[in-house]
Amino acid sequence: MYVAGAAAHEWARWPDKSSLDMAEDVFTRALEDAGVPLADVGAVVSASSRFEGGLGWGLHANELLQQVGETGATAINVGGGCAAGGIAIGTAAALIASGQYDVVVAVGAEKMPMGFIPRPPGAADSLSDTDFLRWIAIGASNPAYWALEARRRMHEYSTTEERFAQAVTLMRRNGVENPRARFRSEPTPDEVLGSKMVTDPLRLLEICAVSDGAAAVVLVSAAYARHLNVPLVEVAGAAMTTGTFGDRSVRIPTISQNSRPNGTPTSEVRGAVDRALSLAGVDRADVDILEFADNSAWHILAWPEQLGYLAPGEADAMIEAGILGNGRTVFNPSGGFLSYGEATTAQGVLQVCDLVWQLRGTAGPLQVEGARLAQTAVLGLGSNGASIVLRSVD
Amino acid sequence: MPFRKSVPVIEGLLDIAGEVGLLASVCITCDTIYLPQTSRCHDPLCLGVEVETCLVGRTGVLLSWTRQVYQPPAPFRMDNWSPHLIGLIEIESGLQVMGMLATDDEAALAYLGAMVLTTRSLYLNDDGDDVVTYAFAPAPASASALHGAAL
Repeated sequence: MYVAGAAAHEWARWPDKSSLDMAEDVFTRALEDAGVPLADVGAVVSASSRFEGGLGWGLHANELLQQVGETGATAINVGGGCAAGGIAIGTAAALIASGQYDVVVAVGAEKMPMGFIPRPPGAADSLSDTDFLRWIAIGASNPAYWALEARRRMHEYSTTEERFAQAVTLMRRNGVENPRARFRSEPTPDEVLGSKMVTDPLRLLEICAVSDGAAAVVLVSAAYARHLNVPLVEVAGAAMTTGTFGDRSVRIPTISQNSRPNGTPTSEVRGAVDRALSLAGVDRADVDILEFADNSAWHILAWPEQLGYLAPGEADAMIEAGILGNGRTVFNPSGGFLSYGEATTAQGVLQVCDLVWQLRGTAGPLQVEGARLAQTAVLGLGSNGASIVLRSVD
Repeated sequence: MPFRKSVPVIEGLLDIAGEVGLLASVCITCDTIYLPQTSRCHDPLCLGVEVETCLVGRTGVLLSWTRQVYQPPAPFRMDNWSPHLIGLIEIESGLQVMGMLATDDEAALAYLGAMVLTTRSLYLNDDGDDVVTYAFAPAPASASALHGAAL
C-alpha cells in the first residue's frame, strides 16, 4: 500500500482555531494532495485526544466526518497517548491490508493545555491508577521522569550537562529551515545551559514545549493507486507494540519498575521499530532517515542507542562530533519535537508526513539527498509504541 | 500542642501505623514485588498468578534524582510547596521505586547512596489531619551498613 497524500498544519499556538478546524484543514489538503475525492474515502482513523474536541468522547473521526461530509465512511478513534498518531496510521494500514478499504485517511489534530501536561479529566482516582498516584504521592511531571533518566545516564556513561546542551543545539539547528516548525532558531549550548532549570538536570530549552498542530495522510491500496497520477511512497512496514516485562526505563506514569538486567529499555518503541523493519524486510543499515520522539535532550542521546541505531554509550561521541546520525542513517532532519513542540496525538502523523516529503524528494531545505528508506519511532502513555517504515517508489 | 493525626495520601499505598512501609504485592510463585498493590503477577513467563500483600521499601540505594523546580499541577497538593527532590530508589532486587525525597539538600545525595523510607507531610485536610506521602531520606551510616548486610 502507499501514501498518496500528506498535509500538515504549521506547528505553533493557535488560540483562534479549534482542533476540528485544524483537522479539517489537513484532511482536505491531504485529499487534494492525493487527488482523491471525499466519496472514495472508506474510513477515517483519528488519533483520539484527551484535551480537546471529539465531542468530549474522543470521537475525533466522527466529528471530522460530520464537518467535511456525511458520506457514511467508517470512523475509528484510536487512543495511545502520544503514540496515537503512529497507531492511527498503523490501524489505517491494517484496514487496507485486510482488503476492507482502498482509501483510508489517518488524522491527528491537537490543541495542548498550557504548562506541564496535566492529568486528563474524567479518570478514576484509584490506587490502581498510577497516573493518579504519581501526582498525589510524588508530584512528578513528565520531565521529572526524563530527568531521572538523564542523571542516571550521567552516572552510567559520564554524559555531561554540556553534552546534553550540545545535543539540543544540533537538534534545533536541523529545525531552523523547517517552515512548519515553531522554534526556528539555534540556541548555543551556553544559551541552553543558561535557560531556566525545570527538572534538574534538564532545563527549559532541553525539554520539548507543547504546541498545537495537525497532520493527515491518505493511504491507498495498490489497486487504487494505479488510478492515481501522484507521487507515491510505499508503506513498507507499520507496527504497534506495547512494552515488555522487565523494561529498564523509568516509564511515565508509573511509580515503580520491575527492572531486570536483561530487560529492554524503552521496549514499547524498540519492539515497534524491530517489527516494522521486519515487516519491511529491511535492516537498520538500509534506513536513510530516522525520525524519533526527542521529548528531551536525554532522548537525543538515549533513543538512537535504545532503538538499535547506535551502540549503548555511543551517542556522546556522536554529539561531540557535531552530528545527528550514525554515518549511515540521518536522525531527525525535521528538527524533531524540540523544534516543533509536541502536539501529542498529531506528532506520529507529522513524522510520516515529513518522511513522505523526504522520500518524494520535495523536502526543500530539509532534504536528505538520495533518501529511499525511512522510519518513524514514537512513544505514548500506557507503554505504547509505534513505528512506520516508508520506502520510495521508482 | 494538640495531637495531630497523620493519614496516608491514599489508602493502600503506605502503612504508617507502625514503622512506615510501602504496601506492595508479592507473587507467591516468582517473588516479583509490585507497587502499588496488584491482583496478579504481571510477568508473562511466570507460571503463577496469585499474589499476597507485603510491606517493602524500608531501605534501598539511590539510582538517580531530580528537583521538580516548578509546582506540579493538580491533583498534586502540598501546603507551602517549594521545589522538591524526587528520587529513583532500588529497594529490593529489581524493584525500583520513584518517590519524594525527605531532604531538600541535593548535596546530601550520592549515586548508589543508601536511603531509608520515611514519610513527608503534604497538607492538612479538612479534618485537620496531616496528610503524608512516602519519602526516602539519606541513611545514617549505621543504616547504610545494615542495608549492605540485607542485600
